[in-house]
Amino acid sequence: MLEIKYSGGTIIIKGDLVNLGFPNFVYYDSRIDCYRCFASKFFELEKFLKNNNIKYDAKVFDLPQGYFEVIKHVSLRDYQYEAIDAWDKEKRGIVVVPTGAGKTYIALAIMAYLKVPTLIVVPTIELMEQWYSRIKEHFRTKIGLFGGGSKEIEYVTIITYDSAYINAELIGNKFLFIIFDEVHHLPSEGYRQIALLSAAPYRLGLTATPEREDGLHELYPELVGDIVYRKTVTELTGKYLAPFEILRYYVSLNEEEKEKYEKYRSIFKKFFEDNNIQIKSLEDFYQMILKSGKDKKAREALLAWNEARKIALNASAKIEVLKEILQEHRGERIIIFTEHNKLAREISAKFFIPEITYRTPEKERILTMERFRKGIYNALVTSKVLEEGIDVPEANVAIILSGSGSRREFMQRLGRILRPKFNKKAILYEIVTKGTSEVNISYRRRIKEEYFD
Amino acid sequence: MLPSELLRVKIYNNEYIRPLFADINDENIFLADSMIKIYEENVGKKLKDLEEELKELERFAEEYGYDFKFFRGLKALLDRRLSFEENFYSVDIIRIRAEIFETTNRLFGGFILSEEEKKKVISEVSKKLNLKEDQLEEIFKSIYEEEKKIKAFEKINGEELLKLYNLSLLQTLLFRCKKLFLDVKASGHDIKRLLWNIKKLGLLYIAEKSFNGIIFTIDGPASVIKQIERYGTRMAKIIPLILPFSYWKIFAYISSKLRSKKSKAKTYKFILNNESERLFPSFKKVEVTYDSELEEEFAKRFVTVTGEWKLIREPEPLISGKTIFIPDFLIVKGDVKVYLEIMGFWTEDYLKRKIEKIKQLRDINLILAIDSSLGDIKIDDPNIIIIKYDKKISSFDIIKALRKFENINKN
Repeated sequence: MLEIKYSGGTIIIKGDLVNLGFPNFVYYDSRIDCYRCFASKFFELEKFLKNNNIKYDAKVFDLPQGYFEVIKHVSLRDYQYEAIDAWDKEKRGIVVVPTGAGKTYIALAIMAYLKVPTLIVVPTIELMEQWYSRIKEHFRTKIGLFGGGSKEIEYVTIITYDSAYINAELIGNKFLFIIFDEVHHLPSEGYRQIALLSAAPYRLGLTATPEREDGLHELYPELVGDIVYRKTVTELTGKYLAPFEILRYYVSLNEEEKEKYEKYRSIFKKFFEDNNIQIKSLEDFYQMILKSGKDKKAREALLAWNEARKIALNASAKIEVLKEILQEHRGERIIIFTEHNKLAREISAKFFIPEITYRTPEKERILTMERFRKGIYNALVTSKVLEEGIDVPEANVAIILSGSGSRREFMQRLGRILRPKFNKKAILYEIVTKGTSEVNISYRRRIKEEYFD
Repeated sequence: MLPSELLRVKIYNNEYIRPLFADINDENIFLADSMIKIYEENVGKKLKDLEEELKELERFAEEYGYDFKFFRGLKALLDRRLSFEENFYSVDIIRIRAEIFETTNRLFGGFILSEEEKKKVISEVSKKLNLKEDQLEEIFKSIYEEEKKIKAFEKINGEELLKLYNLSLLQTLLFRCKKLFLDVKASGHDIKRLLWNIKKLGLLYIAEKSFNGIIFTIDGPASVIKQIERYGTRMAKIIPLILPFSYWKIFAYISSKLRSKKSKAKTYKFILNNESERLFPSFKKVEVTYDSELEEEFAKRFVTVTGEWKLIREPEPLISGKTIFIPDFLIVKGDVKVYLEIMGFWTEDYLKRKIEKIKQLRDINLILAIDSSLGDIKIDDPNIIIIKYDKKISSFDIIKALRKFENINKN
């Protein structure tokens, strides 16, 4: 009889295994004279033991006590049913649907029929609050919040990636179902341990953008399961998602900014030329940062590059264009995105628009989000914080200042206004600086792009 | 511990890694003291004033040849010693701001676009809340962190700061430690504390005898499956515990991606021993306390009746298999060494493990004192004598057992 138990995110197997031809994910641990595997392999291990008629006694799970009752049925669209069917075959895997297509409802519907202790892993406190209110709306159960100061483990627990990483051993055997919201975060070196050290057999990943620049999405099968269902924006537009239009404004630097920009540009350009460096990719840029730790000249160049970029991103003309745009949309639902906190703050103070940045005190952030949702506030300015998945269903105008243009970021920002609740066509404005490293297109041309018809 | 981007290291022979520790010399102390002075002078002022002055000093320090990462490392440690006026994030500021935003929305549909509109909002809110108009704008801005008022700064001197920096740097390096070896010599009490902490942090160890003392090999549960970057921060927390030991040597495997972010991590070796002690803070010796009243009472009584027998509390640990056994007492007379272990309370599991450990001890004289109410234990070993006690341990029984060992020794 083998004895199997959970210990610190791993499974310990005691007993004589020598003649059993054990699967390759089980390792001998000489420190304790036992065998070990990642907790995530527990169900594979069980399958193996059952198939080979090996007797064992497993004490792995320590599930939170509680109840779970559906009080409001989750109503689903066709593609959401399809997604659930696809996932249900293995009860593992990733569902890819665009932002705004109701990822959360897919997860809630699965929770409603599994009815098991569930862990939901989310990237931000905002998302935690959002899941909390959705779950409360649909189920009668105990909900625990873990992260941002609270540390509760209940029948349904919502946790941030950071807290889940730190407490992976603690939570690893407390749930049977684990949901990774915005699952593209999971494969990173630290976060992937959340999946490896968890014994939960049922796993669901949700995202609009599964591919990662570093290629680590190849780890999904091991961590969560394959991509089992995928729908693109184009497939859903019209029927389920509001079509939207993109307007791009190009602004120039003013004389003073131009002068400064040129000053900094000449510093980093000279350094690049002298050292035969080309900044073409992120990788080149990291090289540069690494170098700057030791080399004083490299550091100067990097600082200059940064300053130049700041000038480009925060060009004062952008504020003027922003003002023009605002004028056209008074009373509508508007969200403004900036790259830096400083610009968000400047806009907040100038236009009396509430801001949300990572420096905003929690109390004010919660109040602002609530009031924006209720419509007491119509406009909101934010630096990166809101990037992901946050429900701001009523917004119909998004304005991006100094967007960095990365694909994922872009998509997610678009997601804010891709809300089907609107009859009105949503508009996305992007304000970029011309003649800087950001872009190089001629004077204040206004380009109109119809994205989805 | 520092943010990992402030870690400063040097690689030797493409094999060894070493943090760039700060020398405790006059120049470095001067820089540290100058920084501390700025912190002290800015108590009562706003955070942004402090930041402003520090920026200037950083520029100066850099020109003087100091690494900006060194400066910022010291700054990170000093920032932690600041405390701020409490009412900063008060509900009032948030309420007043909310009132401004709400009024803006009500009057102008989301935002103000002119000075005129701004005036209208300000005047309405100031009337409603009974605040002066210019006060209102000041409050609006006071939500920002750099507007925080510094309440106090926890004192430190330049030398202490540099030592604290070195410890933090060492710990930051260990964030990326995959396997840690500690070769140490210390009292049973200190080792007990070390092991208790290793266990509490969810790490595992094996112990082996070394030339100088004991080598502990430390890693985590999953390390045997795969080297994951998980246990480094916890290993770093162990370090302050071993610095006061009479002998210590750290050997560690550090995984580091130094060349670029995308390239694969390489494993480097790191070695440090107590010859570098002066670089680090000196910790106060912790007063040895007794595990139980029973032990304390016994020790006090025993010393009055023992004559030549000398009683040593929590002596140096014994190796038992791959782990450690630390008896409660060592009793010595000339060449004769007898260990005493008192078992006053246990669970079945605990007892099993303890006996397992004791059985693995070789060539050691041991008296096992067990509470008679807890049943019988039999160990078949001439080097172990079991005596039972009821509430109090009889010194007489112990001395009788000691004599037996003395006689065995003579023969």
